[in-house]
Amino acid sequence: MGGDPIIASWLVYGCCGAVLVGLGLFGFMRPTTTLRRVLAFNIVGSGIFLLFGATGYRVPSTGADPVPQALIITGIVVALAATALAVALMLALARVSAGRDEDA
Amino acid sequence: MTGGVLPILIVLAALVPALISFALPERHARLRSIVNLSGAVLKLGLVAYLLLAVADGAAPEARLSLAPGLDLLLRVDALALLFVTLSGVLWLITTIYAIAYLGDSPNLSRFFGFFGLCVAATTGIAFSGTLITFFVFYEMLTLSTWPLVVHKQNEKSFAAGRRYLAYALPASAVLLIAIIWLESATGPVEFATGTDLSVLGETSLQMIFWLFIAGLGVKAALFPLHGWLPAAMAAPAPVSALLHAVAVVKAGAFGIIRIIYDVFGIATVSALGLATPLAILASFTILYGSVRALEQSEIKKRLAFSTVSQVSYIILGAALAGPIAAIGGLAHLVHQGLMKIALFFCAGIYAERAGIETVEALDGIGPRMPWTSVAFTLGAMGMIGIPPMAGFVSKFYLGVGAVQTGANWVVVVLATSSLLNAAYFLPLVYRIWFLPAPEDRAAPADGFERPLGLIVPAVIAAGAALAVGLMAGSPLSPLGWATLIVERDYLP
Amino acid sequence: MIASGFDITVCVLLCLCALAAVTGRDTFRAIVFFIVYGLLISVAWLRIDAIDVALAEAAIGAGLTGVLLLGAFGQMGSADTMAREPRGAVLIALVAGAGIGAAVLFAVQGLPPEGAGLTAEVLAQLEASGVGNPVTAVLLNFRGYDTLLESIVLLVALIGVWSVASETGWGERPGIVHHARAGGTLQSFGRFLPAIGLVIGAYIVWAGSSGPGGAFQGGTVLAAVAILTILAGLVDAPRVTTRWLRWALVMGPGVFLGVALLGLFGGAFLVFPQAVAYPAIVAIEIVLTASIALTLVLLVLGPPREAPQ
Repeated sequence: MGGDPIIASWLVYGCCGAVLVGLGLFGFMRPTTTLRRVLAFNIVGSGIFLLFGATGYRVPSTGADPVPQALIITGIVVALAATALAVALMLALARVSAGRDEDA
Repeated sequence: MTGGVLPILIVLAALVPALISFALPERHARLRSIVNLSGAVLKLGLVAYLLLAVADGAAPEARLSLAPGLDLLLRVDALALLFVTLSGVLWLITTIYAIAYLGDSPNLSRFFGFFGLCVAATTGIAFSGTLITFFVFYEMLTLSTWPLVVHKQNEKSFAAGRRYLAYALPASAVLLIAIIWLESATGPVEFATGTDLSVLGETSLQMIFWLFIAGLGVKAALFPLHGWLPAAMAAPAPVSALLHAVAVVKAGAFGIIRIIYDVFGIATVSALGLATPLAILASFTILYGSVRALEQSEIKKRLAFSTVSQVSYIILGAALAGPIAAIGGLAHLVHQGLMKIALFFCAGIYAERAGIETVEALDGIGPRMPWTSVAFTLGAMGMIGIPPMAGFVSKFYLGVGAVQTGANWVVVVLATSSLLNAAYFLPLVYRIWFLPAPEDRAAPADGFERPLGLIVPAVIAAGAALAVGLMAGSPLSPLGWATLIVERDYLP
Repeated sequence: MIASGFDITVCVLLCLCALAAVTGRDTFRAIVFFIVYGLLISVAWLRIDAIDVALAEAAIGAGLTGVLLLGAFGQMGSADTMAREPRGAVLIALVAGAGIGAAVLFAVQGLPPEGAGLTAEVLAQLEASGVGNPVTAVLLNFRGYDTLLESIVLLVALIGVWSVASETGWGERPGIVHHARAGGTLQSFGRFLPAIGLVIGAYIVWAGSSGPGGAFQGGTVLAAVAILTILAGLVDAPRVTTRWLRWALVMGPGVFLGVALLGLFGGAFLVFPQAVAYPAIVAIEIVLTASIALTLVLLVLGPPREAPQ
């Protein structure tokens, strides 16, 4: 089996979530293209989810807390909806500004 | 239990150099070579240590539970070590060969990265202790092979890559269906503890078995699922060596052995009436591959069809349901690897240094490229099965094993196949040594047999193929180890 | 020791993938890293025992979001230019990212290690919910509110996406026209995988009442099947004005809302009496799955394309 874990899983993944939030935020704020900002926004989101989910697993003997899990599933779907809307807006903006360039 | 980290370390010995290779900028060729070679040497050292431990009866394992019923388990047993030792030795010499062969061509970081991933996946396949673990590594192998097949990025290699995916991905889906079907009835399947199959009906079990064979048969190039293998010759020579001798076809054959012995059990396979049809399919593939090899005029294509034929010896050995045939099949897993890698190394040298790609162009090359030609001749002799080469030993055991189980027709298949092998290899040997060289063959400025990094691996592989045949009586030879596996794990 | 080693390895790989996705120069490569990241994070979810989330994350996070971003990259190409940023923007981003990351990290490691959360409460009430999977119980019964609103949010997002259609596009089919090589890998898979995908998707929905699975997870798999066949050019998406399409889209939230209102007779909004809880939840799940799958497909495909001139 390899013995007991040295560090509790929830703590490892919780810290990982925190780092991901930081990384994603940096990606979102640094000068870059819109598409990359949308991507970074997704990383922030999943970092928060991971953090949230990990805190629900602090007592492994009772299993993972179903309430955060349910909220996270909801969140993942809403994040996809937001991403789809962002992408559609981005493409529409690109179309509009391309048209304006031709007019000028 | 203390040895549990060893299998993990052995997988990491291939995985870490792969990841480092990906991260290294293209220009750090020397560092990349050092990292990959030291990974290979380290792996061999660890494997040698494990060999001694397992010979004493140890079975270290490392388990990680992902979800209920989804355990990742790396477990060392004698059969796993047979495969890991083979892949470890061949990885080292193939790395040396690849460094020399590819020289300073582009995209080498990517190449060595995926190369290492392939070897790590193969090691994982060998050590897998549960069906799910096996599947995870098997898929890792499927996907990490594709970038190697299309490495040259020309039209031909992309076509080969598409063909490879078109065969490999449906096979993965079929394999997954088989696993889900089986495990939904029996619960998680662990190789070492055996599975209670009585909950499934006879027809279900037969269908599951054939789904497994279809899923694994693509990599093992079992007829009619072999079509990708000759096409994949568009890849560079070290990749062909890897596909044919070390990783891909061997992973398929190894998987079939696991399914027969550790999932179903050879007694069940026979009782369900599955052993004989599989033996017939393997026999047909043996003959079919040989006949197709005869009609190829390109050396690499001829070798590819020869692989189709030779890998089925392993499956035949497993399907015959007798201990001696099983020993022959397992030994052939190693023997075929050594001989075939020597042949592919030589074919690569001929093509690269003398521009020889077809059989006709081989005329009189022997005296000009003596080392390569001796190695090639040894490999060819072994494939035909001339004593005392390794190929003779495994064919002999297969034949005796077949008679022992009463399947006398197999002896006819083996004899016919040997004749065919001779028919497609001897003309090459004849041309190499006995025909006059064409006038207009120009040697490269630095001579034919340069650099040493190409020649030495070929000679070592051919020498090893000779040595394992000569020393087949030793307990640490592939044959001795195969005997140990069969005696320990599979004797009824 | 092995377990911790595995956890730490997964986390390091996750952070490296995120770093590559965020800072890499090439956008295409960044998106590929993001997809790998999505797959890795579902392994992380497995390790913290959240199988339902792992299913959703693998299907949505890695799969659909990846398709969406790759599609956007394909349409934008080099048109996606950088806005002019003031000097020192990188520095500000770096400080903000590192600062907030560190603050969250500090908060996480300070959490008491024995917080059991609401597991005990949920398990105690599980029998009253009508289903055996606690996550489904929370999603569709205990916190049905969230899920109802979420299904409406999906619909609103779709309306948002459609509303940025070009002037000539309204009433056309959504997404761009896809051409796959006839007989190529994509087309072969477009024919082969839907059969398996449909079975898996339907199974995940059905299993959701007793084990891991449910409407969102299964709906995503079904959506992926539809998207695959559309990408392979085997079928084309329906026109956005198609009547059945619109009915199907509002059906899920509609039935959910209807059942919730019926609850008023039993006492309160969204309250299912224990006797009818199981059939109510299964009925909601089935229609909700269809609506979610359709909405996700249309969200990923994007607004209606411009009419051919």
